[in-house]
Amino acid sequence: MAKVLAKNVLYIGQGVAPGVAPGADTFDIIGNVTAITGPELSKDEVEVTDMDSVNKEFFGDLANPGSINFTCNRNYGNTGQTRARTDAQAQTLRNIRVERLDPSDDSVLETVNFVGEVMEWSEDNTQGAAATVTARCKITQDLTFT
Amino acid sequence: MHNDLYNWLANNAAIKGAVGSRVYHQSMPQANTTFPALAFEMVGRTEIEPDFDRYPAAVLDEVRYQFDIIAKQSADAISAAIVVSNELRSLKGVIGTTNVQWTRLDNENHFEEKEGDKLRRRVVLDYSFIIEAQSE
Repeated sequence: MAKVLAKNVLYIGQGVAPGVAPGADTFDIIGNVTAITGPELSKDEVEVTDMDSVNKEFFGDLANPGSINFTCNRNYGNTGQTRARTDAQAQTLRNIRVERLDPSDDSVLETVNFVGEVMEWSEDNTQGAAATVTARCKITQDLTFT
Repeated sequence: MHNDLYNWLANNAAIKGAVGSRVYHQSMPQANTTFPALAFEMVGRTEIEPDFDRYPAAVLDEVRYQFDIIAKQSADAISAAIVVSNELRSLKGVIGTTNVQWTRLDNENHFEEKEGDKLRRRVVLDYSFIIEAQSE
């Protein structure tokens, strides 16, 4: 498939990571998501130029997986949204999962697993518009793509 | 929503007081000779704030209706239109199977049009409703 319209499902685990491994965790969907951005993969540049170098020399520092940012329509009955907001007020690491789906048949194109902590949760209630949320989950350690 | 809105209009006490049983979907019957009368039709429907939870999960739709209040005298058309508009502005909650979360007056126009060698008056109200839609 050359191109695909974005469709994602975002999950948050019930257990506290990393004590509970993803394979042993139970996940709840963070519902009514309108957009997910991230992970934002990057590495700092470490310069290792020395007197024997002909040109400047670099290699990459440890990978920084960044964060995922997501927006959703506020669903007061959704367990995943409730847990994410609670976590924004506490120091709780969770197993987080993002499934990238083919919108034509909901088959899974890729699964992203990582441990993260909800760092930001911002609610918007504007009259005449749907109630929405903007949130950020910081990724810690490595993440896997399967 | 059409049936729910029709039933709500036809059974609303204030609107019945203004137009009686003369509530029509789309166009007023040619044979109707009693006024004021109310005709209404949908003029647009759009899903708003779509998210990854697709239909048949509940979605929010913005639905636009045009309401025509028709009378022989302009005072009668305007009086009836005020009653209808006041009731529409207050409409919220579940009517039938439709969950109405928001109503908004988008436009009001006053017209006169020929009926044979006479004139009749028409007040047009354009209203938008935001509803939580599931299967219909």
